[in-house]
Amino acid sequence: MILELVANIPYDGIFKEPTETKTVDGFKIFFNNVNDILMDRIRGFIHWNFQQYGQWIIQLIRYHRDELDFPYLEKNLDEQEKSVLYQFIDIADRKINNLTLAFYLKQLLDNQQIHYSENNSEEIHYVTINLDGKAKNNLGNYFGILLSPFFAIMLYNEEEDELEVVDANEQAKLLTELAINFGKPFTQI
Amino acid sequence: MKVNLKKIEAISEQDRELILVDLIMTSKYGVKPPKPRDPLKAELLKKFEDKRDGFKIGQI
Repeated sequence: MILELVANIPYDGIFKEPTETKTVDGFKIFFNNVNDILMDRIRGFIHWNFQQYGQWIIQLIRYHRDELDFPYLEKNLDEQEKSVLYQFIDIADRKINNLTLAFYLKQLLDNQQIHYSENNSEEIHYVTINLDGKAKNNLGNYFGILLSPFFAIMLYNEEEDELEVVDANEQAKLLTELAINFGKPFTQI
Repeated sequence: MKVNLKKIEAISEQDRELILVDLIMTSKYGVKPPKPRDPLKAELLKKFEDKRDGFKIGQI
């Protein structure tokens, strides 16, 4: 076993006492508490924009659910951090699924009177929105939202005349840029 | 409208979940400019994480 010791004080501010254990050779090892790691990842995700922490938060919740100390987490996280924690719990528990998202998204588009066409087959479910104005000039005729087998945004490839899913780590950034540059319908999504 | 199915199939389960998290959080809170942590701590942490090929939980 290799241990990497990166600091003698694990986190700034309040943290739970690390668990002390001894190896058969008599070496002391201190294990950070999973609740402190989780809080650190949530804060990193929100305040430092470390998007890759999202996957880690889900894994921490899934693998260490029984060790989560909710009164401690609630006491030490601010309102936004708490809200993100519970959102992640829903994602980790798969309470947010494709069907629910598809329902909400279509309801949102209908309420905003954004016209779309829907394609639903056994292997794929998506909506296509016809673009106009500045968005059409920059992105082409269409914009797509994949609803199943997973949720994602798709851009139009004019040469191939098809919609293509955007790379995983570009999705959120792209959606924000589209909303800033072109407004509706991207601001509504 | 056609959809490129190969590109869809090429996205891993982990990335699918990452997209879901990113899009939900972005639509709720927007994207903020990255704020660096303490640069010394961040460098040290990144060095170890890179060495392990990212943060790992469970069977390292």
